[in-house]
Amino acid sequence: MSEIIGYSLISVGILFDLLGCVGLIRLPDVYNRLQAATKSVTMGTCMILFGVFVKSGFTPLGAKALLCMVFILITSPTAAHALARGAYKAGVRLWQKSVCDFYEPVNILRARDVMSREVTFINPDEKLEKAIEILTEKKISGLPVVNSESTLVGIITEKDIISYSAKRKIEKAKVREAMTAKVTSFPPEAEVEKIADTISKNKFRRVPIVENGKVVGIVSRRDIIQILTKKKDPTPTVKDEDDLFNSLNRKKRKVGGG
Amino acid sequence: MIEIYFSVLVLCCFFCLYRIGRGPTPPDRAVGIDILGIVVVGFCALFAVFTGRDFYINIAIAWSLLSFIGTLAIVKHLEGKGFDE
Repeated sequence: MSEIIGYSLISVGILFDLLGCVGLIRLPDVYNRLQAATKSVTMGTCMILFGVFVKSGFTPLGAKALLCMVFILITSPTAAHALARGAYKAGVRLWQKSVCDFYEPVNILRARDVMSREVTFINPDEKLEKAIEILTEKKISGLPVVNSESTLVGIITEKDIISYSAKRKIEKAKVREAMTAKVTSFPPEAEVEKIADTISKNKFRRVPIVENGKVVGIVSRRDIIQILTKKKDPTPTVKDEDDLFNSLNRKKRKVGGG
Repeated sequence: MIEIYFSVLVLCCFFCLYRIGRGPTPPDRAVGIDILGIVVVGFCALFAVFTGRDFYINIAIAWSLLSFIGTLAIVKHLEGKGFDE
């Protein structure tokens, strides 16, 4: 009787092994292969070992087979989990048709978490002197230019004003003439990392955040630095903003990649 | 009967070897090695039964232990750490 049970367990176990190995061959990415192969091959080998135990009873052989079975039951899933994690950390991508990736970090910072919501605007038909007044009064270096329909039409910065004043007189000039009309803006859902990338590549100092054509906030270098260093204190402590910004940006990308 | 058992297990081993050789990523090969280890454990246990020699099951136990440790070492390497971390 124990012979028959033992042999049938061994047969089924070998079948599981075979199916697991077919999965190892056929499935599309490392995680799927790991999943198919580990489960069914562990099950199959455990059934073989249990079959050996049933067949030979409490002889040294049977007892050792049982011991081996318990050991594989514990170690094999552990090894598989570690391997999956290692593969993920080594940067192996999921199959392109995978539907979800729960291991991906969920707390991605979005523009809406970082942006300053109190934005000072200026109308394109205002005088340039007025813009300078606002800039000096608020101690900021740039203003989004918004027309009467509250759509973003440009951005005016200290740099624009300086280069304008080098060519023409600023006394009678309008904001429209000096502003940069081509503005890179982001939706509130944009990832902060992407914004930081754009800012550092194009040497921007700030980007407006636009939702349905309206400016809802502004993300400046300082906003990003404060988030990265987790400092709420708005007074800057570092003199060279560019250097700090670039080093933080690099550091953050390195952490995200590893 | 015995021939079928062993030939199927050898076939399984060749499937694993295919995955080890083909890759394409290092973790794929590691999976192949891990699974090969488990299949070989079953193979050794069967061998112990059919030859009547007990020591094959000792090989199975040692192999399962080494396969586990080896996989963990590979994982450490994949995560970019040294073995003593």
